[in-house]
Amino acid sequence: MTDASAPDHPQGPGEAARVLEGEARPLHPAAIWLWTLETALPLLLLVVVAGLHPFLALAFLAALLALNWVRYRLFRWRVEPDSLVIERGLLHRRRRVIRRDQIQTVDLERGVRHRLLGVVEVRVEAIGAGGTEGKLAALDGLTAEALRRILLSGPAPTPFVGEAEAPAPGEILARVSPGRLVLAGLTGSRVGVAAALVGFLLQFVPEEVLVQLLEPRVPDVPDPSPAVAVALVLGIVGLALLAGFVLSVAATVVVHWDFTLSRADGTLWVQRGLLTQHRDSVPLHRIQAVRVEENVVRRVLGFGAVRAIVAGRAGPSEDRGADLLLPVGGRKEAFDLAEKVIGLGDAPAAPLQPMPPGARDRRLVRAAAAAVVAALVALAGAAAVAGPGWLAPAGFTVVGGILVGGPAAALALSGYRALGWTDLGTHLVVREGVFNRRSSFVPVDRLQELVTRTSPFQRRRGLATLHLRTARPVARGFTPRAVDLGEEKAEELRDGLPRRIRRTEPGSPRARVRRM
Amino acid sequence: MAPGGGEGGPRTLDPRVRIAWWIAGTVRAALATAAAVAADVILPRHLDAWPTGWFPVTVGLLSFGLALVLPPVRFRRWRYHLRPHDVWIRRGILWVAVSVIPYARLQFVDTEQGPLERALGLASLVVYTAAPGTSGRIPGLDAEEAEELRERVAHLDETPGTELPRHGEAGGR
Repeated sequence: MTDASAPDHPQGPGEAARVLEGEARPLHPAAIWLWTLETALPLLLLVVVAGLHPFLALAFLAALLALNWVRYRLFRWRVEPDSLVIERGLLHRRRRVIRRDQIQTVDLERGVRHRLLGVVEVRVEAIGAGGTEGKLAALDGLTAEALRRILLSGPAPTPFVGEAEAPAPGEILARVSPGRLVLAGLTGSRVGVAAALVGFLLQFVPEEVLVQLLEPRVPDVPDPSPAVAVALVLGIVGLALLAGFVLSVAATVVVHWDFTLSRADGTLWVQRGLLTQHRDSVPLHRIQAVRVEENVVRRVLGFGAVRAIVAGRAGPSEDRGADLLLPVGGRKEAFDLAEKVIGLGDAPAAPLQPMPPGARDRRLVRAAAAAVVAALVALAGAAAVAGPGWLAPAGFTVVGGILVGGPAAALALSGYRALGWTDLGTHLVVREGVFNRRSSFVPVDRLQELVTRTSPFQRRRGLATLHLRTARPVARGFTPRAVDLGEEKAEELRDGLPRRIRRTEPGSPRARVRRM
Repeated sequence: MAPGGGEGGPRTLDPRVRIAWWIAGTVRAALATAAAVAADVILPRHLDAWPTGWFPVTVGLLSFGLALVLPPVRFRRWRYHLRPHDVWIRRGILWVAVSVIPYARLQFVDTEQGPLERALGLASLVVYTAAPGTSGRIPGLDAEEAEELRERVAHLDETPGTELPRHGEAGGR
């Protein structure tokens, strides 16, 4: 079993032919160990922590092994002409039939355990009411590759005859170096950003204030001047934050190690991971929209990330990361990739139109309101603390107002400038976000539904927000939207875009009745 | 307000839906008030204080008041329109949302009836697309009309540029 990359091409006709044959096949025996290992760890914890008698644990483990052996013997899977069938279960016999024309992704995963045992885990996801999922806990690499190729090649499999076919990665669209991944971790981690902010702000807090705040909370240490004690506490907190930060950066690097995005036929392949290797597939026709994300830090440095909405992924795709097409890349690289994936190809980048000035005014008014509130709070505080005289409270009020109003206004303007949209005919592009600027590319053909939402404040200024609803997973996803568009324009798009959608859904909608 | 086309303009819901909303609102208000009373009686015991009484009264007034006032307002604001190529639904009092769902995107069309609606002879028409969650819901339709609409929408032509088939009789309203 090769280690660095995923298993290479199968033995050719033999393996694939047998997968095609439709005979019921077992898992790799390593499944017994994998299943047992899942329970072994908690068991170990119980022994160590709760003092469970080791012999008892061993006996339990042995029983578990036996059980899993039976489970392994009863597990059968096979490939039929139009479906993948999985039969399993000891007491409760379960038969899952996954229609091949509904199979959306076939992911191969190799965690550390899998690699030690020389196997691969296969996960199949399909769309359809409920989003069925099938999992083959352990297969040898050759079979897994063959199975994946067959399941993704469509309902009518082509028999493998003749020369062996290497799973060509196809055209490589992006590859992220370790250095870039460190950058991704440094600039992407919320902990990191938060820690940076906290550290930055702490500089401005005078030491005496910190001492006053922390002194009562510092435990009784035999000597020390308050300053030492405070320094100690701050040091510990700082170290904890730093450790957390470093860990999250390391995690990012490990999870996305050697991130490679490639395209073969109609599918995107994402290969990544150091400890657990992932090879995830993203069928292009399931991509509903693509988004370029530039958070504050990355925008300054000129980097961005690319994410896709992939329809129908049931379950948590957070750990799969298959909707992340590029963890980090140069700005131009990110936008070029997004445009390429979504089908805009080499079209020249069209500039985004700004939203009506009312959108800016709205935000400025909110900033002003925040400033007023801050001023009032400062006034109240000053009145409570300073006592008689009007000079001090007045000063506090003004300072409070400015301290909050200044940044609030800056944020408001920044928020307005981040807004933008354009209609490219076949695609719509919308953008929003102050701290995380998100530019979404939505093909008109992917639109499912259009919604305009107006708050009373928006209506006063003749604005509306247009939501571009596409098919998307429930677990995570985003709805691209044009925020604070002119009301007329929003309605025009809302009523006009549906007419530009060409019918793709086969058949009429199914009618059902539901009684509650 | 609404674009023209289709058979007549946007339509309102069946007036009976207000009754359903009144009943539901009253039940909710009663529950909220009961909870407020319970909180007002139990919490002070822990804090060694006396029940104030004003908390449940406020909650009661607010919730019953809203239950009384909202249904007719909601009813007046709700509009739906089955246009040649899509469904148009407008809802909301202060925060207004207008949804447009192309027939070309419909996957399921449901009629739904809760016990309250059944008692009043009403039903909701719910349409689903591939977008998650309910795409469009038209509550408070006359039950027969809802069934009729569901059948019409369910039997859309398969040719591109799908249009809602013309209905023989305009039916009610």
